[in-house]
Amino acid sequence: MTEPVLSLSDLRVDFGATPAVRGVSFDVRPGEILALVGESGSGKSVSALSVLGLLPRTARARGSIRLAGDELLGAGEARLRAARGAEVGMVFQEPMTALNPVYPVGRQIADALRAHRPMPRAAAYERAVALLDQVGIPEPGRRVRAYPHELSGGQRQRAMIAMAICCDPKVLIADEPTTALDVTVQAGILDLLRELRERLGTAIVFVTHDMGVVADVADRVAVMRAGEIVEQAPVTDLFAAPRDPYTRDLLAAVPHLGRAAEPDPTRPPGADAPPSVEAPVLELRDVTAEYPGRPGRGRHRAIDGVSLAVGPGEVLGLVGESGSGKSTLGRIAVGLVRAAAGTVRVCGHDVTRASRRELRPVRRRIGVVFQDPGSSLNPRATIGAAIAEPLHLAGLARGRAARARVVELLDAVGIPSAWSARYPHELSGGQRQRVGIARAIAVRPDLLIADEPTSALDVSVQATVLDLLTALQRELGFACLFITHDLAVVEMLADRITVLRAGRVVETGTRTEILGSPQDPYTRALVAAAPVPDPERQRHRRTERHTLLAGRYAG
Amino acid sequence: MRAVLRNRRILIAGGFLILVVVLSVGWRLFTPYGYQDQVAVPLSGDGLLGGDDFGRDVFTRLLVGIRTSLLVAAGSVLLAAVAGVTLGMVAGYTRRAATVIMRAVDVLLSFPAIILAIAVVAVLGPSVRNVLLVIGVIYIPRFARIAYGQTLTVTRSDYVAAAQAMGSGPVRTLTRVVLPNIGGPLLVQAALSLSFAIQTETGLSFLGLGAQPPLSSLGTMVAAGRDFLEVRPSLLVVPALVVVAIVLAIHVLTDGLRDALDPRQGSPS
Repeated sequence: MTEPVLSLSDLRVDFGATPAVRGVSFDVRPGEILALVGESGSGKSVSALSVLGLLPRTARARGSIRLAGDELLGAGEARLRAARGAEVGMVFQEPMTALNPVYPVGRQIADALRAHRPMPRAAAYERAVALLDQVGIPEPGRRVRAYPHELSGGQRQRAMIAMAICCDPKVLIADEPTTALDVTVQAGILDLLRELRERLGTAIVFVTHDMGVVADVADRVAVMRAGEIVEQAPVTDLFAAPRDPYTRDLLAAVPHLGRAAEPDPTRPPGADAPPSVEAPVLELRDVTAEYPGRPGRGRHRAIDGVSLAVGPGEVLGLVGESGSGKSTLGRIAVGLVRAAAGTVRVCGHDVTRASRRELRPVRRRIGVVFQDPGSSLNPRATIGAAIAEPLHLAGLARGRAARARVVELLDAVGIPSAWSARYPHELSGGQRQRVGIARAIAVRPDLLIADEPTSALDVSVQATVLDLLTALQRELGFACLFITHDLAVVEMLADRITVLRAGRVVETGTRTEILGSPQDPYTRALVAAAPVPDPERQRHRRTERHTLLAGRYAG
Repeated sequence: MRAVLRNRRILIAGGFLILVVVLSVGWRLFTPYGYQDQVAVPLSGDGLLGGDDFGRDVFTRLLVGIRTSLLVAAGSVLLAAVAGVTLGMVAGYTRRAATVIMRAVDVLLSFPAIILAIAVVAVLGPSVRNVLLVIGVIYIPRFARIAYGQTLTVTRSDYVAAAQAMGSGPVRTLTRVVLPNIGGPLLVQAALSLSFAIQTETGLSFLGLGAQPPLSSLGTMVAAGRDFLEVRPSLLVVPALVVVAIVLAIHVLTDGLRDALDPRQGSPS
């Protein structure tokens, strides 16, 4: 067995009196991909960042970090600077903020190169072009002069990777490198990282929260929780036979694409059959929406002729990648964004051009759950007041009656009713989203619009929130437009699925139709790109995806 | 509330300001004289702070002077805050009104404040009411700009969208959702403006444009004391020090309150 190139032993990091990392040890060998996986606050990013001494000033690190036998912890700033970029490359989560917006990407790569290896500017540019080509950016000779905002999200992350590997580092640290990207783009980046590992023999420390990505990319996995590694194992062993109870819970909580394809005994028979949409709760017909573009650019068409219908008691999953217009569509349904053309009907009322006053009775029948519960609750209002607000607005309850209903709603979402005087910032993310759900169902709506309600949450929290939504939906029987980018989530909830791309409906069908036998090439690519938290199946899916893509380019 | 009471800065500054307000507003309870009564030997040490050049009790005139200055400052800031915040929030919320309102505010902002005040008071005639109105109008842009910027930011947040989606109208959204969330910076601005307004009032009265004799204000007292600086320096020094103390106390109080009232801030930094 080869010597480890990076080796952490008993690393401890404290922020003041708060321990963030409590005795973490792991080794990474050349050509190996180690995934550090955990939920937010588990210390996975802190562990990775401490390798390069990139922690905030308030942090104190102890223990040992050895890079090819060389102690980095406590080494001087000069030693760390020599290591950064040259021996250890770093890829950040958000390439838009990690790249300097005022310089072309080529110049930034050339600068990184020249910082470690003195060479003429022209030679550095030449190398930058070669690197961009290596990371799969088309037309590298032209793109080398492009500014970060001129590249797509995936290309930006590729440029970031090009910068990270410019000096042939022994170790690459990737901190959630695909979290900000769409699944189809993510799959490409993961392919690239795997290929670089093969070709350059780089050791990769891959920090992520996504079990599907872990199954797709990792050789070995270290599961972190509350600053400690609870389990460390080769990827197949970890998924096949997790030893630690926390790992088991985590894996059980991950939504698993393809799991619901097997018939679910708890679902009433015929639930997958297309429900009658004769009296739809929400109906959009040929809806178009535009945003004013930049001066001289014309208007940006966010929604382009979309028609869909949600029947009573039905859950329609609206799936799309970023920029597909799925959130805009949700906002149109609530009347926050007005359709430029087409008709929008809610509970039979035409609300396309309704005034605010005319909208009021309709809004009483719609509840909305937003993506980020941290920002969708008024920070200056107690959660009791937040839940009572729709009751007041609808004129349903006041005073004691409203307070009683708030208690009832808090009970329904599993929050102690004594907490109604608390402020949102005193709650955890999952608890806040429960409050958001309680607020949305306060008026007993006929239609619930949920815009990515779980994507800001950790997986274990996501699972409980999704369970809550499902239970409430069955109990109260509201129709639901569930907007998400995550196919595995939509599979758990939706009766029917509509796939949206660039403002147009690509495909609509029952859950089994869309996920089991997608017809449109885009839907097929989307389904194939979603990583499954099972290394064996994921390997199989990966080859399937590659043949699918090869077929598309050949055809 | 407990957090407010635990903060010593707030207690000291607030206590001092309450004392000042009580003394000046209830001045009749604390002195046997009227502010025009000639009860002392001119420029003598009679009474608490002596007599002025007309033999009026300086302590009495100081209390009345503080009252005048505080009244003008509070009234003008209230006027400016109500008008400015309303304009700013409307401009920030309804983009269409923004251009008109904010350009008008910019025009107002581009006039040199003191010169504008002198000109307007000279035209309208010097009086406490006119000084109050002028300072109030001059301070509108401070509130309008902050309210506008903050409203723009807050309006983009999801909780405003959530309120709108629940059917909350513009007035309710602005007063119940937006206003509490932009209150912090506005509170600071109000306090700063209050202290600046006290200084502006003092300045205008010093120039003879504000309170007219025999009514006293801190500014007229400093102006009157100037002539007797060598004989009785306290005639000038005492009202001047009162201005400094009040302004300082207001600043300390605002800082403390802002820290203590933010629900997101666990402990005062």
